[in-house]
Amino acid sequence: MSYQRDAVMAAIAAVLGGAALIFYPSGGAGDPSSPPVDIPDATPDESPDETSDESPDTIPDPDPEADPAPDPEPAVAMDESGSQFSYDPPGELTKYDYRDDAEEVGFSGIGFEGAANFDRNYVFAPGMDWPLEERGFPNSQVYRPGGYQSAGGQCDIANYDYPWQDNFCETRGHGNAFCQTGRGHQGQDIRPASCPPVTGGAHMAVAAADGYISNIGSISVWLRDGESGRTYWYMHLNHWDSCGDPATLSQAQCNSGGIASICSGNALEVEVGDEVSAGDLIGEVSNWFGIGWDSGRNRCVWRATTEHLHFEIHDTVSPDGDTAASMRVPPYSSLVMAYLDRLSADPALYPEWEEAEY
Amino acid sequence: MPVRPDLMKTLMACPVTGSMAGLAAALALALTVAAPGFAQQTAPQPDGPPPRAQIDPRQVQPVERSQFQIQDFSQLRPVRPETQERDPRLAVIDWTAAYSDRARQLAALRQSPATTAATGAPAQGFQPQISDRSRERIQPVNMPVLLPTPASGESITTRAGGEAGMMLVTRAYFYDAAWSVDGMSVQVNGTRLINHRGTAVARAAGLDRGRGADGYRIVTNESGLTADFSRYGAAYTVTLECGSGTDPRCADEVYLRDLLGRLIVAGGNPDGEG
Repeated sequence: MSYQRDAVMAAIAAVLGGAALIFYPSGGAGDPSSPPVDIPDATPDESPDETSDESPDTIPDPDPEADPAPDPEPAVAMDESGSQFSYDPPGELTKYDYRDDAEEVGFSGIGFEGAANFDRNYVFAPGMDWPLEERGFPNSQVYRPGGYQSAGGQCDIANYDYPWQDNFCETRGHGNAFCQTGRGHQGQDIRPASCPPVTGGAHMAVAAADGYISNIGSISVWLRDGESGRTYWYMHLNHWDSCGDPATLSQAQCNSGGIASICSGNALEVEVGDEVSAGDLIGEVSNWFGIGWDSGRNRCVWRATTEHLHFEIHDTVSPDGDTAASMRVPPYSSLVMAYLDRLSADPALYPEWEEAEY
Repeated sequence: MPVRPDLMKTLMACPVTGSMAGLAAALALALTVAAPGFAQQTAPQPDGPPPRAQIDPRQVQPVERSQFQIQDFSQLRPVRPETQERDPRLAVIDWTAAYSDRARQLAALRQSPATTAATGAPAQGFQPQISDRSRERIQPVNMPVLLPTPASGESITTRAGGEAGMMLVTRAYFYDAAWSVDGMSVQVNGTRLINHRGTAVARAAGLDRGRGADGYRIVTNESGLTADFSRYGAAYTVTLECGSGTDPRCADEVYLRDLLGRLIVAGGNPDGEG
């Protein structure tokens, strides 16, 4: 008898316990401050046995107010190093002066704020691919650590972290029709996955679209998108296998044609005229900036920048619908979209920015 | 858009009487691509948006001087105006203006002793000519192709590792020409595609910032100079890039403006291959 009584009591306890687990799954589920707890799985397999003698009608309807579903985890995009991707809005340039640790509005210039029917977020190159093989960090080479308008060194960890920052229209002397002053930075600077002087290794730029290499200059590589006709500029890639000492050049040689006499071998992965597919290797991100005559030291010297890719988009804008006009366009929004694509981000993470039709 | 009868006559009568003898190879290299005729007509393209550009291996080969062959312009049939319906993605081309400019430019170049159309630089022994391969590349381009006549004494090369000569790559609606002159990279390109539409308001708001009264917008960049301009409805860009930050050719506009003045209509096809 005792065995039978124990069995009945156990069955009742099991039914009540199961019901309690179903209707009150975890005491802290609705409390975001509560530590994560293991939530009993309430899949149909664990529902009260359909063969139970208890009629479903006898089970009270769960009170929605008393049964808060766990808040869904916010969607995030993680890069290959496990870091969460984030970015400052297009057109917002850095305001931080590292020399005196202070913020100042307009410190590095005024970003693209939109022009007539082009919103500041407008995506000029939809469908463009991320131009690096690995993750990367768009931000200023001038106003971030290591830049000539900043303090510290280029390998400062702050330069190799999110959030991204736009630097199109950053204060420069070069003409740029999209900038409020008519002058400003003509592209986006992108630091590679890590800082080569510290970490070593090569970080590669890749084709942002299917197309062909339309030119290779002394500093830049041009990629023509074979479908849209856009041209992407890649600047500061490592161009040569080996170079001699520029100090051996006369001033005349230094000013004209000198590089070809002291450098040899193509360090790039492409040659002019090559057809490429999106993702194909173009060359190694470096600090290459050619040579120049230093009048103070009276000799030819290397010019160098920080380790980064200067990336531009040259596109066509028609002011009247009939005539095409070429110009450099803001690349930052297109880079954000390309990076989200690269990270296979949740669709909810894509900003609702207007994209070009083509 | 009708072709004026006098221009048609000019195009049909455009003769070449010179021979290859005496032409320096380097000069031929440049001249060969500098003054080809408009391509003969091809079948009209079907309606609809521009198809994805097709890769034609012939179009990505560098110009090789060994393959130059003189062509007689009289063998080229006259061109006819654009016939396909307007695609809103394509800029409207003023072919009449392009024909007119080309006739004037060729007439100037045939003078002996000749001078180039714009610079006054001697065009030694120049005869309008075109290589088979260059013409094949230019023929499908559905816009006026602008290329420069050579400057006196210039030697065209490519950077180490490349093949000698001018690189010319074409597609139906755009083209790129690139070469090197004494360590300076030169690129001339054009496109007829319109990817974004501004408005007159946008233009007034600044999209024409920096453009001079002559239509050129010349700006410095981190490695040289860029000039962009619209002509015949298409967009063109000329870029100089110097490996030396103190190369005067990339520091002032003298060389660039000279180059801009040497651009002539080298070809194009109102029907194109689309």
